[in-house]
Amino acid sequence: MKRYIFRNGMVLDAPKGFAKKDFAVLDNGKITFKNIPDRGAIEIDISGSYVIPSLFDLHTHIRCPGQEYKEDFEHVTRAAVAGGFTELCSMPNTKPVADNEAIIDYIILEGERYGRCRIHPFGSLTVGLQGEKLARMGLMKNKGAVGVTDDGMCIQDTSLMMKAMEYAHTFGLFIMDHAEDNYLKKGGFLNEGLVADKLGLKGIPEISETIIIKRDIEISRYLNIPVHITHVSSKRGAELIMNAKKEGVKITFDITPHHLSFNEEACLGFNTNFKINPPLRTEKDRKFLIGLVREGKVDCLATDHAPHAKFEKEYPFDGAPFGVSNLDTALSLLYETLTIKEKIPFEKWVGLFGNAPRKLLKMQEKALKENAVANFAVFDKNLEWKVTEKTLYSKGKNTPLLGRKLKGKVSFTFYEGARVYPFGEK
Amino acid sequence: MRKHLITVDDLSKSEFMSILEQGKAFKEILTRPIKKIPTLRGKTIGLLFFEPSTRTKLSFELAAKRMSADIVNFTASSSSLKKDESIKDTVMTLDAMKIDIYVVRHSSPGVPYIVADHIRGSVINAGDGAHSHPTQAILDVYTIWERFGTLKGLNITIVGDIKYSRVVRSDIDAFLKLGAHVTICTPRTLLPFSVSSLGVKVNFSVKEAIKNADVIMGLRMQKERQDSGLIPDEVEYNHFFGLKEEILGSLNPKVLVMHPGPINRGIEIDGEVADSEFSVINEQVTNGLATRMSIFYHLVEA
Ligand SMILES: [Zn+2]
Repeated sequence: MKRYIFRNGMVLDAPKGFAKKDFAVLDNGKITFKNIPDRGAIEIDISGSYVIPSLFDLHTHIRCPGQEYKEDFEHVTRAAVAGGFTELCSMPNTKPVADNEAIIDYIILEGERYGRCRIHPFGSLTVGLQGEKLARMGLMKNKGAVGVTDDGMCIQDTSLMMKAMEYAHTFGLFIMDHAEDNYLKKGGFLNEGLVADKLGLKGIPEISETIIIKRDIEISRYLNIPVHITHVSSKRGAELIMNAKKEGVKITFDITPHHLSFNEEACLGFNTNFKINPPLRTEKDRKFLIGLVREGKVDCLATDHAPHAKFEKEYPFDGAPFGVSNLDTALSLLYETLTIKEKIPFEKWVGLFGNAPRKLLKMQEKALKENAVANFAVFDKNLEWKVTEKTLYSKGKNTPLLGRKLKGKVSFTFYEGARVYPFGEK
Repeated sequence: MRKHLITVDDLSKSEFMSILEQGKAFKEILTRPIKKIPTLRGKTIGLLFFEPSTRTKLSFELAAKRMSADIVNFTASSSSLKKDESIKDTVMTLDAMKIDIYVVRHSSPGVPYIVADHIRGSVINAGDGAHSHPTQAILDVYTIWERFGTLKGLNITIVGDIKYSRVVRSDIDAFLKLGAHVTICTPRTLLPFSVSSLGVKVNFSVKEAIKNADVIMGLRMQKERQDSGLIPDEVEYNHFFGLKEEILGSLNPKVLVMHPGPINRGIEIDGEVADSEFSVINEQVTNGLATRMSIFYHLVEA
């Protein structure tokens, strides 16, 4: 392995913030601030760049095995490290579903083959995501599953959800729920409201999210079992969670970059790349969620990276699949939204994409410390880049940012001591 | 005064001990070439089994026969008797036949109380739904007591399907009454709701739960548990909550492995464990006979 010396970067020393420091990555893959070699190393001036612990995504649809036409291990791991992520939590809606130990094992091993980042699989709560029969959560955990969720197939039967949570809790598994009432959501394509009416498309009401959040709060309180609500989209939903927290309920939640960056009006041109579930809500919802980030009240961020094939997003709005390809652009987009536009300092929120989810999953946090194994990303805040199909490494080109210029980009990513981005000879 | 045995709570600690002591004497009789004694000559025992049972019924029947009692059998499956059909009418008919002791098994909790209200004899509960099974608890206690001389301070670990088990309910009551420490090990979906007020410890890992155990008791995994979605399947259940061969190496030589039977090999207990030198599963059957004789004896004496 080559040695690297990074000079003049702003290194995150949480919780204190950034400090200008030089450091090196040695042959053993460890970071040093004190023993920077005087030769035999590649020297890089990273003035104007931030150095942060590598990112962690709690919610990635890796699509493999089974839907390699949308995304595969090669592309998803490239997109991840190009976006600064070295850990991904894969969602179980693969084909076959990650509802048993063999699939969990496959995903972990296959992920490791590429050597760029780690995939931490989530198993499903129920067999085949069918919401009928509990999955083998214990055996999945033994093979390395870090959590369980039925994600987009939110369990509707409250009694089953309780059983699933109790069973998962037996093994100390992290339980995540995509809060959605199927009956209320049925046939909807975007937020219920002005825009949906204008476009003549059936809406997805806010209450389809809040009613399940409320249910999960009650279950969590009743059973005293923690639950995590993923991709909260509405002000009301977030308020319910805040209030429950105040009452001591063990509930946590995350927000996605798109719910922080866009509102329902983005759908006005029928651009299917804004068709997301849960849908983009109103500006009021978005502003409220940003306020929570500003106040430090969000537990973590998650991409909900949902790559699709180009032809699928070329269907009419009501026929196209839900989801945005996100890993490549998540950090740059949030830098624009939160730091450039909303003036929330980078160090105030970047940890929500790093050690915050690691903490939720009770995993080892990453730090930029003397002798720590190099797991970090360099984010060049001045680097302007254009989002095109070519600059995205994900197989899924379904992002509304296509053609847009963004300011700020990851320029280096190190994983377990090795440079994994930029690609090429290490 | 007329005496019933419907739950373990019907017995004081001294009555409990007296049943154990007397059970020992009866067990000795069971080793003799002539195993019959005249204690219940002229007494009539009614076996009211509203729910199918082979082993428990056989045990009561043989206990009564060994003591020279006359036996009346009333067998009806619960399904043929509707739940709202009056137990009272059935029982009053029997009572006209002057039966001294009724042994009652029914799938509905509380039926032994209904029987007791309408007869003149004594009632022994041979299992009423998920409520209680005191004679199983007595034989389990006997098996432990015979080996250790006391239950006081012993660590007893119960592994398995606990939620709707009448055996566990009665066992826990009896073990705690006699001063043992109880740990239960089962997936959380099979834990009773009120577990925190039962006075037992809960551990989700078999390995940890049996670490300092003097007694390990397995419980039958009921097929309905899987059907009602409380566990994924038998493979996962066996992996995490089965008494597996691997545990044998870590047990101290005095440990007893028990099971109320019948066992599901390869599900809640591996054959290697059920047949190991630690196992007293067959001994429990003999002890069931001796303690049921002792229970008859005490009810008649009272
Ligand atoms: Zn989702």
